[in-house]
Amino acid sequence: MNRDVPTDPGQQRQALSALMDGDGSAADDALRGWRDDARARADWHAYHLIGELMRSDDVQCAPLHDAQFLSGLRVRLALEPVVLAPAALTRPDASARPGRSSRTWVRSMAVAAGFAAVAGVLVVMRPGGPEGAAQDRSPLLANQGVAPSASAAAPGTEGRLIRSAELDRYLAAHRQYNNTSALAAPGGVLRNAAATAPGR
Amino acid sequence: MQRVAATSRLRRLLAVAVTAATVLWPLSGQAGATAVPPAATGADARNWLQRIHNAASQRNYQGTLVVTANGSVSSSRMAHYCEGKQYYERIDMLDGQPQRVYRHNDQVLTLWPAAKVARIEQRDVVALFPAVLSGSEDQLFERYDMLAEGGDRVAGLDAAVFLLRPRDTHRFAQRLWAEQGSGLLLRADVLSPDGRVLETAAFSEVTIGVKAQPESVLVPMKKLDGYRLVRDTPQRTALETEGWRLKAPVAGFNQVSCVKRSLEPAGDGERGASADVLQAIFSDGLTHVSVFIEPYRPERHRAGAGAVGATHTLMQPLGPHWVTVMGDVPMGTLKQFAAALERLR
Repeated sequence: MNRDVPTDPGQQRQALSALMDGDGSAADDALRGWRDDARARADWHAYHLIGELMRSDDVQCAPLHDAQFLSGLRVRLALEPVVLAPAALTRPDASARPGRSSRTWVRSMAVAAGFAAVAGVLVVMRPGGPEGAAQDRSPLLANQGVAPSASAAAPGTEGRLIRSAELDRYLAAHRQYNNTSALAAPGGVLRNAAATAPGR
Repeated sequence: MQRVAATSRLRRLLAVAVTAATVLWPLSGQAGATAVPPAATGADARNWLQRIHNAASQRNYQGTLVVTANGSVSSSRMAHYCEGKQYYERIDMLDGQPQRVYRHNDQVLTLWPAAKVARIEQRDVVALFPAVLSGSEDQLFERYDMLAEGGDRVAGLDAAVFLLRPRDTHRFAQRLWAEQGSGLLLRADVLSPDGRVLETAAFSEVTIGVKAQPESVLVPMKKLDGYRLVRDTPQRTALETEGWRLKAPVAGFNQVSCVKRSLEPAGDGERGASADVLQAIFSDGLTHVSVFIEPYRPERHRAGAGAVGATHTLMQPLGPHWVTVMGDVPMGTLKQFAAALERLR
């Protein structure tokens, strides 16, 4: 099944991490790892868990539940007949690999599609201003599960701001003054209704 | 008119948020006199604003609030009671981590039952008393036009619709739905300059004129066994006292308060709870902007700008200080605040 050149695990982890940060240049490695290597899948999951924990105090999900969901997803994907390989996922270098049988290709695309489905849910954004923490590879999750393309085009999102416990503290302090408005409550209450996390 | 089809959020891994916010909003600004909607005349507009304000504090009501922003939805159950000059409020977050807020006059208690943390705050009461309103109301009408937009129905109740349209580009418009009978605000939208809905807060169901049940607020406020108590006690100060000023005022915004506070909950030693943050609050009568100033800690602070719903945030260093400007205003307004901030000493 695995006809590809085995990849160095370290490199693979880096590829996974890069993909989480929205960098698709090493997506091949990451996808292969995710498909073939159970440990890579475990790492992928752990990275997201770390990201989620860093993102917010408001985390109480059971990791086991996620793991079960993912393994269930894989099983279901394997059983799923591939009707159509999505054209949007065709990469330019795909044609440059004539050695692969089309069957393998279709199979890997199916996994890729499943992978993309999961990746699309777990959007990764990076903090930092224009000068950016470009080297910062710490995975942080965006608050809302919107696909990267959708989030780039989403109205109202001007930049790289992450809803985090940290930001929540400023928000909570800011919203205490909603009553300075001539409208006061329930406008204030309405706007206040967004939950904030307690400090740990 | 507008149609906001919005959102569904499934939690965690399954979260796929679909936002379809279609706004069809005939902009009447350009055409000037030709396209002025039925105007709420000065007295009428003020009258409605006063009714909205009074209903919010003096009526007894309870219902479910839904806040929609950027494709995320959060809802809460809330109740508000008024008995004489006593105000009681209860808010129960229905999404995410459990959180309950109880308010008795200026005492606000926030409970996180899962984390067993309780935060006690004392809030300014300015807005509770209509007598204080007149000032911010005048200010509001200097910066916004209030246009009547006919009637609509929200949460099963007939509502009068108003648009508060800013006269400049430093602030967002808001559309308000006020219940015809009582004036209670049933829905409020914050609109971007091109008419998109940035954030919607609305009752999905509400009962006005319920029987006051103050004990449903007072009793839980005393039941704090097992909770770690955290006190939030902002100290009043002044921007100048702390060695800061705005070298150029931002149009329409007056400073209404300035406090020194810790954003860290008490007892949170690991991150240095002693770090005091200065928060200056500026209001234009309808919305407000907070300017936070604190020591710059590179390991912690990351420059950035963005929005959560209608609330925009700008974070950047200023010499050895870290400045966070936040408010339901366009990013340009926040930048003005940040640029105007100046160290006196």
